[in-house]
Amino acid sequence: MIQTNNLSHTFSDQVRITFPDFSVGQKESLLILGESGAGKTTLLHILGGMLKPTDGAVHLMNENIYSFSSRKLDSFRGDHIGMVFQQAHFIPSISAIENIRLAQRIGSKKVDNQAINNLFDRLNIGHRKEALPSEMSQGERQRLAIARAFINTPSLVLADELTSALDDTNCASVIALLKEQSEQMGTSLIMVTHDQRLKEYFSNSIILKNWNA
Amino acid sequence: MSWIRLAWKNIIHEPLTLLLHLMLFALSIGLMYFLLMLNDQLVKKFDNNLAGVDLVIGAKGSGLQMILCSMYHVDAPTGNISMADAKPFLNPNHPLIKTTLPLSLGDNYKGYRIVGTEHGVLDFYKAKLSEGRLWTHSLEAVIGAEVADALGLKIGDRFFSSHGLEEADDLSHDHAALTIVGIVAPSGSVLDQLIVTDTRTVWDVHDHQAIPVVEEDDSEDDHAHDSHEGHDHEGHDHAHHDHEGHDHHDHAHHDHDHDHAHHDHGQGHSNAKPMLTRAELIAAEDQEITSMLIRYKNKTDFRTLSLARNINANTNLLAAAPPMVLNMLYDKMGLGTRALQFLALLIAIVSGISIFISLFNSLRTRKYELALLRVTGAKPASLFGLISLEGIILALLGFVVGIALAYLVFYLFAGQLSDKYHYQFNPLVLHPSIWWILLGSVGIGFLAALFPAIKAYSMDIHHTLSH
Repeated sequence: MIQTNNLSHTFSDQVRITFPDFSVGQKESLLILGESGAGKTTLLHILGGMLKPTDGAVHLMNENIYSFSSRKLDSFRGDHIGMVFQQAHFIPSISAIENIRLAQRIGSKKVDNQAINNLFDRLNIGHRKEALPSEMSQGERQRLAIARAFINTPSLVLADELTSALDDTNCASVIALLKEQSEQMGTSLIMVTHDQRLKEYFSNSIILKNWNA
Repeated sequence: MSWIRLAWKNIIHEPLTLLLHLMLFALSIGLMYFLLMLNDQLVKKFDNNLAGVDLVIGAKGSGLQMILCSMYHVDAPTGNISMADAKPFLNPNHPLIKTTLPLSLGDNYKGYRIVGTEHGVLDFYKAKLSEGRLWTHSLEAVIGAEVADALGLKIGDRFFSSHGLEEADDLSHDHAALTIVGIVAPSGSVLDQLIVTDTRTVWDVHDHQAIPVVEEDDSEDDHAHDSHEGHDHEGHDHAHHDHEGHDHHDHAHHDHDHDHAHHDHGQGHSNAKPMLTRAELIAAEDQEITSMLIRYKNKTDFRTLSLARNINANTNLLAAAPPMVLNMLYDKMGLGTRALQFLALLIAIVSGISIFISLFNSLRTRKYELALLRVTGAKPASLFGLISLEGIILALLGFVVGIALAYLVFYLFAGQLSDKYHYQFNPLVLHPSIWWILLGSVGIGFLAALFPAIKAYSMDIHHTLSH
């Protein structure tokens, strides 16, 4: 489903990071481990179509996403890539369900309230649909972020340091939710983290070397 | 969830900030629109009532006051002028004057001014009767459309005038009732709010001396004249009466300490006499009128240029040309209006800056949510549109509240003016500038949002989410 070739990125200060090639198929998951400064977030942003690599290519659904125009890349990202971040940010002025509807609308899909309700129920936040993000707990917001990542049935979901601030129980719960959603929707899941606990949940993993070392 | 709805939700999410922007913006828009409406209606009212008058002649004093009183009926007269002085200008054969309209003020009915004049007053204001007829006798009155409406008066109704230019029940001339014989159709001029009658009516209700009747109706007038004799006029020199409100004119010999409500006028005055002819008016040299409205035969005749100057220099009279005096008034008014409009513009700019600062500051706290909108597929142009919409909606809200405020204040102001002067302003008129103000408001809102919107447009998602 997603495949990388000879990815590398050079920052403005001429520091160059080279990333290993990998591919993740449908319903498969990959854990990318690395210390701080190893370029995890940079790789994630490259995979998500937010940062064009200096060299190499990212193929998603057999398309080199960086061959697209920026306008098409935006649409493609909205339709095929979901992202979850450690800090879940939402539009604070609208309710939880409106945030998800907005994501669906931006993703050029028709708002499907049935699908949204089902997803909310599966993530156990159905009772918090009308709450403002600020009125939700940290755990609820994280599940809401997962809902937003999956609402457009993406081909790829990228998760960034999702469990770093969670205890073991919540960590296991969040990973289970992510994997379950990925399998149900046939999505590829890539998680970048420095959290070594996650190794036990992922059969495939790669470790990024710290380029500062 | 449309972008407009999202922008709206973002705006109302911060109610205090919204209130601040609204107050500032609405204040500037409201002030600007109110001044435009007021200025426009005032100038239109004044222009409507110019009635082609080239010159106003009255008692010495302020030219502006005399014009405001004689043409717009919003101020007190500068005093009275004797018929002996006025006589030359009432001469139909005057080489320069085409028409002269004598005016005698001093009484009112429920605050509506009663003007003693001639039939020509309707022609002056291009007005027509909607009902009834013009007066043929004294104590017969024709009322303006607004007077009829406001007071519910109709043909045949009788009323007692009150002394002075403002309503005062204790100054009622309850010895002489006026009968309404005609109603003037609305003309949009000052005539709408006047009660017009024969000059003799004004003289009769004040003056207990005989008014000479030059021709016709000898027997009737003799009778009327006789019936006045022997009246008790204690302390009241009617031949030189000073109408209430002539406070700008020093008539030392005009005793005004009398109480009209207690005059023993008897019933003699209630007997109507035939209306004055111009010849009778001219002949009544011991009488007074308030002023004269004059139209020249030929406005371009160079002699008209020196007429006013000669009158002012060589007679007891004051002459003033309305267009000239009004232009001076407009200039003075315009200066004040322009100063206030400049102030309103300044407030609008400050309001725009406050919107800019608010949107710009909010970008800092909203950068992650905006970046996440990009992550979920929103295009840079969508974020530009969202921030611009927030600025424009804020400005539009301010515009709506401001215009509503302007109409509310104008409505209250118009009500006050109407109560005090019976001068009608229409608070429901849409001033054409409203569309320019709307455009300006949208422009200010957009400009205020432009820089923040460009920042949102050019946001680097990677950079934002990495920090």
